[in-house]
Parts: sequence; structure tokens; C-alpha cells
Amino acid sequence: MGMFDFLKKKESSSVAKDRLKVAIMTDRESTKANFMMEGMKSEIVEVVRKYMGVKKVDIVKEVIDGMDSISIDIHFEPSSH
Amino acid sequence: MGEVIAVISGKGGVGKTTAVANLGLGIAFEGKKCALVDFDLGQRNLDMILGLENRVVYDMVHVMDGEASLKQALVKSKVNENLFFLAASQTKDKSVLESSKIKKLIDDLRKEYEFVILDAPAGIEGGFEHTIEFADTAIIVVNPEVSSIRDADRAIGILDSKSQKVKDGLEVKKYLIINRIRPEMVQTGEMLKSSDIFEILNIELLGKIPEDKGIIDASNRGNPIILNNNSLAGEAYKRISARLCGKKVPIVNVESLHGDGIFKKIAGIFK
Ligand SMILES: Nc1ncnc2c1ncn2[C@@H]1O[C@H](COP(=O)(O)OP(=O)(O)OP(=O)(O)O)[C@@H](O)[C@H]1O
Ligand SMILES: [Mg+2]
Repeated sequence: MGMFDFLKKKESSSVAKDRLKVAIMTDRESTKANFMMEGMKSEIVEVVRKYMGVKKVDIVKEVIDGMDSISIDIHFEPSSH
Repeated sequence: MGEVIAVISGKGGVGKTTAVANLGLGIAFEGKKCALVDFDLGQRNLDMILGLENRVVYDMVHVMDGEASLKQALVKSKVNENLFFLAASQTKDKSVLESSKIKKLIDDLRKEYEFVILDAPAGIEGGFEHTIEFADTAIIVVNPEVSSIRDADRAIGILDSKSQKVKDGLEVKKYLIINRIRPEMVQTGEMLKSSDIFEILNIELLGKIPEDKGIIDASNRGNPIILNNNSLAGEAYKRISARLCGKKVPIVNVESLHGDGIFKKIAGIFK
């Protein structure tokens, strides 16, 4: 044990800072994506509802063959005729 | 028209209620009329911290449902006549809260008081969203700890998308309070520095409050620490209150203060 061993150990406050920066960046991305999805969903429902009954809208983000894609499933209310 | 300030945090237990009680008194001592509203439904405790639990007759839901007038429900502080308090409902279901009723309540308070301060519940769900909905300003309270800071950032994200002001294309003012700073730990690098915290969160710093043992005693008695002239935390709340009232008070570097504080040492000399 050398007398300068303490120099090797990084202060925990700077470890905290580095970890926080990464975690918060990831969180912000996902929050943004969530709000975008929510907004998109409610606008789609609005548009489709003008023409027919909407039961439920599912939006799923996927990666197919390395390409980002979004699939939108619209479930209609059973029609009356 | 008064300013509506929501005190929020994301993570629970970081010192929102303590801040609301102390800032309310601080603002009242600055000579401004101030109303405090406990939005922590079902878990009312601002009344205890203010020492007013025995005077509560009607709560927020009584007012919103028209069972009591605002005047009847507001409880006057024992120590300053500028300060009033509206209790959270203890029993009724949280789902009774409707945006339109909350808006009416807040608008009515805004007409009478220069400051209306809302104490948010822990978390970022229902009650939180109601607290931020009609606020002009948000004070975000954090502790110098990773979980508190991360959760605060998420709360800010929701604030920035769900508040009425933002929906109207306006801006919600945002201020940061860093609470429970332990100077000796910051000095040894075991606790995050304030500069790191506001760099990460990227909002304006309103004040720094040191860890203070006296806060428990203050809560025990229902006398907020700002009433104690020998407390570093109390002094910090006074400075923040003055800033909220528009005074230019420099930020004190509480990290460089020592332990129990200079006040104890000075008091010691006179013993
Ligand atoms: N500066 C401080 N120094 C020491 N203790 C403190 C300080 N600030 C707050 N506390 C203590 O921390 C605890 C939590 O405080 P408080 O109830 O104000 O937090 P809160 O954010 O309102 O919690 P909740 O999210 O549950 O409503 C209390 O026991 C309080 O006495
Ligand atoms: Mg609280």
C-alpha cells in the first residue's frame, strides 16, 4: 500500500455526477418518446373518430431488419349495420 | 394577481413540506400576504409542521364542493397575520379532484394573496399533476443524492409538458432549492457539489439549505425553523423568501460553513 493510494480512488461525488448525466440523458429521451406517442395517439383517435367508432389505438415502435418502424393498430367499435 | 408557486420534487421526503412552511412564514414576514395549500391529499402534514393541526375545520375538498367558503376554511397563522393555510382532505377519495374545481380554487386564492404556495405530494402521478397544472412557478427541491436529482429531472419533464402555462405557449418559471447539504461531506468529495447539481438539471438556483438537526425539534413543536434565529437552515429560508419577494440577496455558499455553525460558537462566548 503506497501513501498515494488515495489518489487512485475517484471521489464518489464525481462518480455520481457522471452516472447522473448518463441516466438523465436516457430518461429525457424516453420521456420525449412517450409524450410523442401519447400526442400521436390522441390525434389519430380524433381523426379516425370523425368517420367511425374507435375502441382502442395501439402504437408500437419496433426495429425490423435494422430499420426503425412504427406500427399502428386501430381497433374499431363493432359497426351497427 | 398573486403568483402561484408549486413546490415539487419527484422523490418523496426531500423537504418540500418543510420548505413550504418556512417560505410561507418568510414571505409573510416580508410583509406579503401568502396562502399555503396542502396538495398532499390523504396524507396531510403541513398543518402539523405549521402547528395549526388543531385549528383545521374545513379542508380543500369542502371548499371545492361548496360545503365551506374559502374564508371559513383558511386557517390564520399563530405567528404572522399575513399567512394563511388551507388543509388537504384527509378522508375523501383523491379522484374527487377535477381540474376545473382546482382552477377555480387557485384563481380565487390568487385574487386575495400575493403568493399562493402549493405543497405537492411525493411522486409524479395524479396529485402531482394537479399541483403543477395551474402554477406560474415551480420550485424544485432536491437533496444532493443521485435518486433525488434523477427524479427531479423527470418531474421537470412532466411540468414542461403538462402545465397549463406551457400548453398556452407560455413559460413556467423554474427554480432549484438544494436541501440537506452537509458541508463536511461536500468538502471531502463524498457529496455532490451544488454547481454539479444545477449544471445537470440546468435550472436557476434559488437557494441552498444545510442539513440542520434543529428541524426535527422545530417540527416537534410546530414552530418552523425560520422562527429560530440561531439556525443556519432558518437563515437560508429567510434569504430564499426575500429572493422570492424580489430582493437581491446573494447566494451564500453554505458548503463552506462549518458543522453546527458560527451561531453556536458566538452563543458560546456569551455563556
Ligand atoms: N435541511 C434539513 N435538515 C435536516 N432535516 C431535514 C431538512 N429538511 C427536511 N428535513 C427532514 O426530512 C424529512 C422530510 O421532510 P418533508 O416532510 O419536508 O419532506 P417532503 O418532501 O414534504 O416529504 P413527502 O414527499 O413525503 O411529502 C423530515 O423529517 C424533515 O424534518
Ligand atoms: Mg410533504
